[in-house]
Order: sequence, then structure tokens, then C-alpha cells
Amino acid sequence: MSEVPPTRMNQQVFKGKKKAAESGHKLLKKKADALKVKFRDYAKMIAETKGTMSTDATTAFFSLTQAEYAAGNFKQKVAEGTLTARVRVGAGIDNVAGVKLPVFTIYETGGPADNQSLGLIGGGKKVVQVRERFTVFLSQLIKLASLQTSFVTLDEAMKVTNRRVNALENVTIPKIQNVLDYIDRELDELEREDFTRLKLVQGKKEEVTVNVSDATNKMSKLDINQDKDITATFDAQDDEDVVF
Amino acid sequence: MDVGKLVAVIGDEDTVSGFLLAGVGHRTADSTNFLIVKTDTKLQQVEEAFLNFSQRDDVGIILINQHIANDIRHVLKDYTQTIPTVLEIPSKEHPYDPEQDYIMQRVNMYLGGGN
Amino acid sequence: MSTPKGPHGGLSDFNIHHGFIEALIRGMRCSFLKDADYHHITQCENLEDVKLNLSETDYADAVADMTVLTPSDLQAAAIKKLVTEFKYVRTQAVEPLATFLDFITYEYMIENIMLLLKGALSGRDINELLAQCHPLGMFKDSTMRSIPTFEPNAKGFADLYQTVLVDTPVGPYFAMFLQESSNAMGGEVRNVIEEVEIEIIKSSLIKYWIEDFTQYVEKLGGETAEIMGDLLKVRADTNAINITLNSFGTPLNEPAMRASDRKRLYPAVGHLYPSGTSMLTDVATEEELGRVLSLFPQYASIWGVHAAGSDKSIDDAFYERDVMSLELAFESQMHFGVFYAYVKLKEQEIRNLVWITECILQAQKDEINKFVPVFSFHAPWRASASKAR
Repeated sequence: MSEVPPTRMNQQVFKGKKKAAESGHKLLKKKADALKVKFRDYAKMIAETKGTMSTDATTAFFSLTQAEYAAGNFKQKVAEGTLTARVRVGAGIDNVAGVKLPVFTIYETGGPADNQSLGLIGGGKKVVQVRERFTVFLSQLIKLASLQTSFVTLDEAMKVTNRRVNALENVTIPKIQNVLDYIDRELDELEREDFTRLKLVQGKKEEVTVNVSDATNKMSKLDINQDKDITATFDAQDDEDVVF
Repeated sequence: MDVGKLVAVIGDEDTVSGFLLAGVGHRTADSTNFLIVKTDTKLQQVEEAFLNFSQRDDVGIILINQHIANDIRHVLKDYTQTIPTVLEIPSKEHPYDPEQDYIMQRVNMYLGGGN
Repeated sequence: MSTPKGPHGGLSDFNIHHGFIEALIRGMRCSFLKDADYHHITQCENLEDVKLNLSETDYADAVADMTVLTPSDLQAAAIKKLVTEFKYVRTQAVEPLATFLDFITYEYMIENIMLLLKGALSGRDINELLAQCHPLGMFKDSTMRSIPTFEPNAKGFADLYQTVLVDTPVGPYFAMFLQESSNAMGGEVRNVIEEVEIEIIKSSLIKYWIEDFTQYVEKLGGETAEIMGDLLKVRADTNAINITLNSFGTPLNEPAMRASDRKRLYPAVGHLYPSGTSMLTDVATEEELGRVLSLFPQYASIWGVHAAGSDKSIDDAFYERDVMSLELAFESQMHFGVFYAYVKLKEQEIRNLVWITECILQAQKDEINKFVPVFSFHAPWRASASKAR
């Protein structure tokens, strides 16, 4: 701060800086609040979705048991043969208060299902049911995955924003304020110096004038004596021209 | 490479079979996107599978049974990437326990902590 | 071994040749869980209690050394128990019953052979695959030992098929299937197995097996031909109906596939064959299937269960009907059907146990009674029969 020359110019500059920092702080604070609201929303949604997920999972797993009862042990066949992912996730981006949140969307290639004929000799309908139940479960999970990534990203973003808010509040703004105070102080000091100097100068001037008047008095006294020679002191330019 | 990322699954036979039926399974000449964890599956295999899935850029989500996640918690703790997202899911025999889920711990901290 | 002439599955000489094992298997009837046992088990709160209850039944030894009971472990142990019993009976059997018993195992062999071929093709560890095979369908020891020695690549695969599996009892079925398919697929074994879905191959093999089995049973003649023949016929019909029903929504239901591929899966035996199956060929929707089945009284009622859309599925209806006819087959005498009935009923019992334990494990108490008990006094057909009396 000491390297800042305490000038009016700099005062102006720093006043500008302070203003910018304060409005920045206000904005960031707003953002932090917005993020916090979102964050709480997400937290709530996660808690809810995780709750429903358990029930979805239960029905999904139970459908598997039902299918096994009807179709025999087909599980070992599921993982056989060629497999091509029919369900994938697309990654999109959601924007919350300037924070980019990754969003997964379920994305079906529309390709044919693998091992379509499972349970052909019996239980095929139940196997179809397993497919459906697990698809529901999966879409639920993909939703949850989005929420969860968003949650983590928001968490991170919130930390950063809060850090910035705090930095502005506790470091940057006080620093600028300090500089401003310093400049003020210095300027005051300068002013005071100026004042005293002026005073001094004035005093001196007054002294001088007093001296001068003394001298003139003396002179005039002297003049009385030398009154005769009035013309001697006469200066034609001293007087305004008298115009008649 | 087609559009869209894969969903990888690490789980017991029931979980994996179910998701394969839902259509997430993908097998190429040299890799699969799922691991069936049985009682005799070595921990190291699970760890390797997880590290492999998490480093593949065609994987968007990793689903893992919670009881298996607990076994490789030390690996999961060090995992900081956002994508692929790791999701802990219940299994048939082990109902979901929110207490053990890192994300849920944070969620509960926020919701429960009043804030 | 000399094969006696004349019908073998009949009254005339049954007891001379097979009386002892028939007695054996009848003695095993008491090993089935009773109504009371089921009642106790379904009341259990956890699997620990189930184990406790089972230790008072015939499953005591099977569950004795389990520290924690899980449905899959229970299933494995129960199957093992069944296999032990079956093997014991098999060692006592003389021809032609021995062949008959072998025929029963072929069904499981088909399952295993599919598992091995498909698994080996996708590069799975063959030892792991062997562990998953159904123990009742295990091949000869020499065959089993040689299977893991093949390399998990294309050449090893071809060798595996050509040198080992062709020689197994189900090899001929496989050869028949390949011959039928190779016209369409260009011949290579590998291609066929790669291209055709495992379930479709299996269905084809099962079809050949049913046909073959029926032929054998008919050759035996006597009571066996009558009772066992009927069981197989019904089984053939069940498969045909199921295949049709389950093909809806899959490529198999496409018009071109219906006549070629789907029709080929219908067994050429059974009550539906030939007029019914030829009608099934053209069926494309559930309504049409219902219309065809309404012509066959014995299936109309089962279809009714499905059409009514209650929580009972067609599979449950088939199971119920199967259990009834198997029980009746088990109770009658002087034929080989008892052995088949025993295995199938035991299978149902194992299915029940798995169902009950799974329900307990997953806390699905509402569903727990949706199984078909074996030799139950509360079975609908028995209950209504005793009421009529």
C-alpha cells in the first residue's frame, strides 16, 4: 500500500476499485445464495430419489426372482453371446447461476435387445417383465447420477464462490479500504501541511506588510520632512489619468 | 464410436443380469463393461475393474453394489473425478443403507444440519 | 445286456426287472416336503429359521453344513441331493430302464452343452463354465476332463465341438440342428452357434429330445408308453404354446420367421400336433393364439388364466397342471414314468424352496404363497375331487 502514491488521482482509482469490489461482492453473494438454494434442492431431490430407488430396486430384484421361478436358471445365459449396449447415456449441460452442471440423459440406440428369446420355452413374459423393471430402475439411477454429479459440481462451485465472497469481504475490500484510508490520511496530512505552510506564508506576508507599512510610516514621517519635494515622489504612471 | 456413453456395472449376478436385460451390456473383442462379482471373486479383480472403468472415456456412469463398494472403499475414497459418476446401488441381499454412501452423508449433513 | 422282447413298460414283467427300484423310488415319496413343512417354512422371519425348519425334513443333511443359508446355496445343495438320489437309482437300473433314466438327463445335458459352447465362444474360462453346469446333465468323466484342455480360441472351439461334443449323447440332436440350419447359414458350425440365439438352439435341441424320447417310450410300449407318452405329449404342447406366446415381440414373430424358424421349433409330437401346431404357425397375436387354443379344451382353461390377466401367470398355470399330472403319474404303477415324475416333482420342490427363501430374503411376504406345493392335500384338483366325493 505504501507503494501507492497518495495522490488524488490514485484516490479516484481506488474509489473505483472499491466500488467494483463491492458490487462484485454483492453479485457473488447473490450467486452463492442462488447456488445454495439449488444445492439444497438437489440435496432434497437426491434424498428423495434414493428413497424411491430402494423400492424400485426391490421390485426389480423381485421380478428377477419371479422370472427365475418361471423360466429356470437363465441368469448365466444373459451374459453370453454378443452384447451391444442398447441403453447409453448422453451427457448434456445444465446451467445454474453460471455453473455448468453435467446432466445425463438416458439414450436408447433403438437397437434390438440382446438374447431376445430368453425364456422361450417358458417364462418369457416374466423375463420381459424383468427387462421393464430394470429399465425403470436404470432410468431412475441415471436421473440420480445426474443429480449426484450436479450435487458434487455445485458443492465445488459453492466452495469456490464462497471462498471468493469471503476473500472479497475479508481481504480485498479491507485492503482497498486501507489504501483509501491511507490516501485520505496522506492527503489530509498534505492539506494540513499546506495549511500550515500557507499560514506561515501568510504570517510572513503579514509581517512583511507590517514591516512595509512601518517603513512607509517612517517614510511618510520622513516625507513630511521632505514634503516640499512633492514632485519627487510623483510618478506619472501611478495615477489614473484624470479625464475630464 | 457411437454417441452416448456406456453404463458400467460392478455387481453380483442378479444385479448384473438385471441390467444386462435392461440393455446396458456391451461386449467388444477385448473388453466388457460389467463385472460379475461372486463370492470367490478376488478383491484385486474388483479394484482393477473399477480402475479400468473409471479410466475409460466411453463410460459415463459406474453402478456398483453397495456391499461391493464397501469392500473397495479405499479405492473409492481416492476417486475424485466427476465423470464417470460412481453410483452405489442396493443389491438383492443387502438393502440400501444411506449411512454408508458418501454422497448421502453430505446430503444429510446439509439437510439435517439445518444450515 | 440282452434286451427282452415284447413290451417292457407293462404289467407283465415289470416287477421282475424293475420292481426293486420302483420300490426304492416309492420309498422316496416321503422325502417330499409336506403341507405342514411348507406352512412352517413360509412362516419364517429369516433364513436362519428356514434352515432350522429344514433340518427337521429330508433336507437336514443338505443344509447341515451351511453356515449361512442363501437361496442359491440351498438350490445347489438341493439339486446335489436330487442328483445323488438319481444316480443311486441309476446304478440299480437294468435296461431298458437305464436308457430311460439316461434320457431324463439329456435335457440337462442340452442345457450344459449350450452353456459350454456359447461360453467358450465368448472366451470365458472353461473351468468356471463347468462349475455352472447342471450336475444332472454332466457328461462322462472322460469327456468332462478333456473339455478344459481346449484352447479358448477359434481352433480350440472347433476341436471341442468335433472331438468331444459330437460323441456325447446329445451330439446327434446337435448334428440334426446343424444340418437343418446349415442350409440357411452356410454350414460352419461356429457361424451357426454365433449367429443363432442360444435359446433358439436350445429349443430346437429340446424339440429333438422330446421327439426322440417319445419314440423310445413308444417302443417300450405298455403302461410306460401310455403314461410317459402322455407326459411327453403334454410337455411338447406346453413348449409349442410357450414358444408361440413368448415369440410375440421378438423377431421370431415376423411373418417370414413364423413359417420358417418358429415352426421348426414345434415338436412333431403331442396333442396339438399336427393340426394344432400348423394353426399355431400363423398366429401373430395373443388373441389369435387364444382362438387356436380354445379348440383344445385341455389348454383353453390354462389360456384362460393368462387371458384373465390375474396375478397368476401362464407359467404358474402350467406348473400347476404339470404337478397334477406328474403326481398322478407317480401314483400309478408298473411304468417308468414314476422316475421322470420323481425328478420333475423334486425340481418343482426345489423351485418352491428357492421361491420361498427369496421371498423371505427380499421381504415379499405377500407373494410367498405363490408356489405349487407337491403332493399337497390342498391342491385345487384334489380339493375339488374330494368335495365331489
